[in-house]
Amino acid sequence: MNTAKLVRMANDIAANFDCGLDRTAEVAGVADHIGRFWSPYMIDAMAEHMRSGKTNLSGLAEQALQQLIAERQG
Amino acid sequence: MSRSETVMIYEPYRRPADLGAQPSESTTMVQLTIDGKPVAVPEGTMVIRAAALAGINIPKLCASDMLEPFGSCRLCLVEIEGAKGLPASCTTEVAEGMKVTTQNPRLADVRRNVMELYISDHPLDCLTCPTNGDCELQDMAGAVGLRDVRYGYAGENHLDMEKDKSNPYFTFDPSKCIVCSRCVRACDEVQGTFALTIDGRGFDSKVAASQDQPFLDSECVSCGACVQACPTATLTENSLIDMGQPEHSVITTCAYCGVGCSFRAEMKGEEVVKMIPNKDGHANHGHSCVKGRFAFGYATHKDRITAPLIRESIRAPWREVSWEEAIAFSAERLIKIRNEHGPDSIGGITSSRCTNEETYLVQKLVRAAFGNNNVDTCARVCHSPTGYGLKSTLGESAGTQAFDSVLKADVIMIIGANPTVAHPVFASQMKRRLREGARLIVIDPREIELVRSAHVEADHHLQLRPGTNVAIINSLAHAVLSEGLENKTYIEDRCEADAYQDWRRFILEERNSPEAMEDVTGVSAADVRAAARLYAAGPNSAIYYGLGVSEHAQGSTMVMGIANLAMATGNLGREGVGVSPLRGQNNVQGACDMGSFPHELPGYRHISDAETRALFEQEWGVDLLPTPGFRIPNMFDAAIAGHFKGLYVQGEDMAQSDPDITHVSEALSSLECLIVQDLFLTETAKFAHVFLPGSSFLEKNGTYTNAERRISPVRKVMKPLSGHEDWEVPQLLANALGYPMNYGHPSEIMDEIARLTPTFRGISYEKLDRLGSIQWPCNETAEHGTPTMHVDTFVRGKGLFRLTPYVATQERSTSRYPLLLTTGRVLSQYNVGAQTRRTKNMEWHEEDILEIHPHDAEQRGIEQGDWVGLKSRAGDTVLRADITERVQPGVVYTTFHHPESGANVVTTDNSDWATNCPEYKVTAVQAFKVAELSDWQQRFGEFTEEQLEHLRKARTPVPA
Ligand code: SF4
Ligand code: SF4
Ligand code: SF4
Ligand code: FES
Repeated sequence: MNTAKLVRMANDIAANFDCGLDRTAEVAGVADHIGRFWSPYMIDAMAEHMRSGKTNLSGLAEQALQQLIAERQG
Repeated sequence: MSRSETVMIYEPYRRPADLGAQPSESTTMVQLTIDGKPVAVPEGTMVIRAAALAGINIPKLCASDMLEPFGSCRLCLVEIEGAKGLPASCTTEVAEGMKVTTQNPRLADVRRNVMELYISDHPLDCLTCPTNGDCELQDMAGAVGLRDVRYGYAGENHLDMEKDKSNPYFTFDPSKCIVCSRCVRACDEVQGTFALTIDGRGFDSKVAASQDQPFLDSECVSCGACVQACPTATLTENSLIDMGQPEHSVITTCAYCGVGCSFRAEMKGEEVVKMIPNKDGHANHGHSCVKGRFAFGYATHKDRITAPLIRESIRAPWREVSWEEAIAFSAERLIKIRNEHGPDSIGGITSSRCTNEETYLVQKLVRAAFGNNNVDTCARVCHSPTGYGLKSTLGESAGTQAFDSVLKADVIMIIGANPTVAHPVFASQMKRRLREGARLIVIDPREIELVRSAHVEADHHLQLRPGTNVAIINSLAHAVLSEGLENKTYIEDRCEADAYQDWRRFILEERNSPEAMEDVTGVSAADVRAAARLYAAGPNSAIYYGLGVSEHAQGSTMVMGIANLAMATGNLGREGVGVSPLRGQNNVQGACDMGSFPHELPGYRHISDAETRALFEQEWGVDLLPTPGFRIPNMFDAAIAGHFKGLYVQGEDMAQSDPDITHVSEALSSLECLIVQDLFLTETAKFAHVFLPGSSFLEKNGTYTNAERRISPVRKVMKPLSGHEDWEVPQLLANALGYPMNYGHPSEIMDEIARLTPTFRGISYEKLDRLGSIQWPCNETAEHGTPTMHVDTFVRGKGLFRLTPYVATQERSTSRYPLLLTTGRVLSQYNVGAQTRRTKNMEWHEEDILEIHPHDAEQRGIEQGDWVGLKSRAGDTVLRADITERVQPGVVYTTFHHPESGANVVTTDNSDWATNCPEYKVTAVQAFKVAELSDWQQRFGEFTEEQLEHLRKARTPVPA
């Protein structure tokens, strides 16, 4: 799947949670959103992309995805 | 009747009763006697209505219960004990103890004289008149016993006046006019267009459209209200002139927009003679627009495909086959794909044009028989942000009000919606309230009609730059909070305190102030503050919004911003206030309710919720996946990536309506099996391997749910041309895939929905027949449904303020693409136009045009009517220019009702962050003068020609 598009989607989600108020809540918000609305196939594609190194993800998006992926494995 | 006779119970044709005056709202009752009969009616009721309610019909011509009291014909005179003269019963209010006489020799004499005068100037060709058998003038002549006309018929008259046949749907024959003004008043009061006047005085007076123009060239919007109002044959439907009087009628629901008007389909056998808006219709109260009233001819259009078609590849000719063969072919293909590419490789798409029952079955088919959650609906591309935004703030993915609520609003705020063209019947109701004095705030980049129209003028038009909605809503909220205009008690009682404090801190940050946002939105801070004060002052302030809110990169944020503003000012939970999304298509609400989204089961319950899943697993007898499936754009991406291979589409046309068409075409071409169920060879069907013929709303039973959560019945008035109603088709497919479905009637599907969905628990066809329509939630606590939501508490308990940071869209103007394109609708066409383009509505809108500001046009040497190339980073197309100040400099506007105009070749894949609803409302483009169609249009033309040839081959029998 076109990971550039997934990256853009994740960054858009993060930008809309990013208010600079409560970082932990923002990370949790982004992770929860992606978990609730993305199909597993997309999350897997993203996990693979993240293993590849340079992700082009914003800080918030990256953190949230790492948290989500860890939760899914855990 | 002999035993062997079967009884077909049809309601015989009858003109709906007209009680002569509107109902009174009063709760105080008044006692009077009419012809000796004691009668009790609400204070303020007119005598004519009181009499009619008691079963006493007073003759009348100029009065109607759709209109204000007028009193010009003098036919309805009565005697009232103690009153002087003979008062007109249609303009006289009842009084306590009043004694009314409606029939005696004196009254009969006067009435006969009145009729005699009317008839002396009226042709006596009743036998050949189109309204013979359904004419109030004829009835009244009979009722008063008119036998002779002393003035003779030879005097001066209007009998040779010419007919106006300019409107494709109705004829104006002035020779039959009795100048009762009902048409003029209907146009003013019911429709609110003010297109008609009575021209001249006395004998010379006559009805004129606009500046005495033909109807088609006048301001008339062809709503038909004057035609219904006319008591004679002066204004008559052409279909009635052609076919004669109907013999029975069936109540059904319009299949076009989200207003969901109720209609009487007036029938002659299986043919529709006319569609008359139902006075008992709870959404429309007897009014309609040109689409529902007149544009039903597509149902019998020659382009309808009525037999299943299959083919091996999209470059091959179609082959007409039996239903059995088409279904077997489809099932075989889907199973093969699933075996080869895995359970995730197939999916389905439902449509807002389909009934609740059909949509429910398609998502059930996908979840239970396909075995995944890859189901989505076209609401993805229109109102998915509404579902997300309202669910997360208020707790339910639906509008909060009934349409009638607008009649109690003091301040109306319209954001990104154009009700006079997209929701015309509701717009008429809104205009009535505005004429009564409600204040109006419009937030829209374009000057929509309501900003300035007959007897309506907006107090504030915040003409913001496309893509800056969230900036505006935040600065409105900032103004409210910084000026202390919030409703503190309401917030304290009804909303989550912590979230409110966070939101408050965030909104009060300087970056959200109207002053700081001025540069972003282009709207002066003073205007924003003034609008905020007006909205906060209410006392009843209501927000109505449309696709101009949802179809943005921040669509969901904006919906939450709207909910925040309404909560902060206490404008939720009673009549006259609220947050109301105006839904585009008829069943957007229903399609969403029915679990068409990949992450949700019916009733907006997340697929990860084990308890809900268990309920469905038990009823359906299968295991359900707990994870969300693909959304439409994900399906397309996965198709291009080679992972997604098979798709069943019911009634949806992504290849025209979805953004970035080049990408969509690529995705559709990479499918191994595309099954399309539709009425016509749509743009999407041109990429299909299986075509399953659909049935129009006249050919099936079911229900639609309108923008106010109102469930209304759709009733079959003719046999389906293809042999199957639409809901039967997913059932056939499920059975062929080995998952049994055995519904005998859509009512059984609704029963299952009610069993599984708490908000639908109390819905049944029997109750719908009884009540006419029902607004969900309808259950143990709300037997008759729920007009206003969130009354004492929010559905989620306490209201949740969500933070709404403004994030500028990536789609901004650059030196390469200096203009912003935004898209919309026109009145006469509907969505992709597959239906309306196949009706005479084409006379109003034959092509999509590009609106461009004179300044931008001049810079580019573009003149009125020139071909203009429109280019974005996604693609380019060519449209004809309309130079107008309705758009601001820097903004261009078009519609997408015609596939060849390719508006969606230009729109990009940018989308709402939360729901992937495409950003149709903002695309950076360049415009330039050109001499010929774009490459895409030429390729489109060739592809269409090729596909039509493939279709023609299917229809020519192969020689044995
Ligand atoms: S059709 Fe509607 S808009 Fe046109 S003149 Fe009649 S009432 Fe007015
Ligand atoms: S056109 Fe019909 S409704 Fe209008 S004034 Fe004439 S008779 Fe009355
Ligand atoms: S298109 Fe909408 S407003 Fe027009 S008749 Fe149909 S439901 Fe009513
Ligand atoms: S019906 Fe009352 S005056 Fe015409």
